[in-house]
Amino acid sequence: MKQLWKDFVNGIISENAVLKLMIGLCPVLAISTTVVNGVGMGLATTFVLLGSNLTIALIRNIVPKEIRIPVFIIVIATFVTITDLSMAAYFPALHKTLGIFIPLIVVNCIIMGRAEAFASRNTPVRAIADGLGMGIGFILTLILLSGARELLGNGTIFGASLPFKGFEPALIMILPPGAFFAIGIMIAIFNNLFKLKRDGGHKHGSA
Amino acid sequence: MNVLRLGFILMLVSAISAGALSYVFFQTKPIIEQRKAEDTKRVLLEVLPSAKSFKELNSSEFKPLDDSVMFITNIYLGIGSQDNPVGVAIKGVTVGYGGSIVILIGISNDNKITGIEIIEHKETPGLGSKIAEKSFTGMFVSKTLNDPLTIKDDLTAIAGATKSSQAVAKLVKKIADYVLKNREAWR
Repeated sequence: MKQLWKDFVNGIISENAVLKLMIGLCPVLAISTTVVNGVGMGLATTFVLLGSNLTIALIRNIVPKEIRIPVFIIVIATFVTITDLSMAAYFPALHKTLGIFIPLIVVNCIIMGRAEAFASRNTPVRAIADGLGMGIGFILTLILLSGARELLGNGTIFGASLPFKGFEPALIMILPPGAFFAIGIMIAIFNNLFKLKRDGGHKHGSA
Repeated sequence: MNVLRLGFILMLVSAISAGALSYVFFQTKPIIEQRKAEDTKRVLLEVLPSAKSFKELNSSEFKPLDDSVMFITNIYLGIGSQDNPVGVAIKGVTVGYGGSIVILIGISNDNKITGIEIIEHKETPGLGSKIAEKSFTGMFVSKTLNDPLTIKDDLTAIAGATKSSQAVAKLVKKIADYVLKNREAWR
């Protein structure tokens, strides 16, 4: 139980995919213009991550080492296509706004990374805990990042205007450069809050 | 021999995946198609509210748009409650900043634009994607086909998305001219 909790929290803080491992940045930077997009992308990615982690952990002892990568890609692509079709059927509006980024989940490094580094070496239960943790860490990061960008760049939050007037949105925040500003500041804050006490890591002062 | 074994395993995995996908595909296909049909009807009513039903013209029944990037894909004749023609809705395609933009324009019999909807686009989320918002499409409503319909003249572009705005305005202008020239043919 303790181990499962550790696997779960791991993905949210100490190995947060975006802020710590810095993988999967392309979709994060591209779609974090509104919170709705961010949450939609986060949920879709989490679903694919859970599905692929579970499947890969289940078949990890059957799949020969030589062809594990193509097998992983087939598994991931299958789940992505399922997500794509289901979203088109049940959430057409969200499917429309996320557009091309849904099929591109296939090449999201987080999913392939977890498949290779975790799911292919651990039990299905642990793989699910890991997938959930990584997914939730990804969603939280996306909410914070897209929230900040939508607020500063568009003057809205969850698509609703601010209750007061006089705030002039800085358009650059929803433009591509704004994504880099925001993610840079977020990574700096995050790493200061959760300092790694590792040799050769961060040095604290001159002591 | 090993190559054969590995190939066989890969084939097996692909077959299972294909099976799962075809199941999901056939489960979602009717829903997606139904949504699309409903969507079409709904947007048609939105751009041409005075119509009660619509009759689609065959592609052989109308002349193509003489342009290299802009096309007319569908023409729907709006029919009122007394079987009288009330206007026309035209679906056109153009190329924007991020890919093709599909728009639907409603034009009444007195040559007024009754509504515009962006059906599909791949413009930058948060910037060019604003062409789909009412604040942009609303600018065209109740303009007549003889108006200039150009950015900087009687329309304003979205900040940071000039190309996307430009593309839509040009297509609208093109279709307006087209309707003025050809509308007698299918009235």
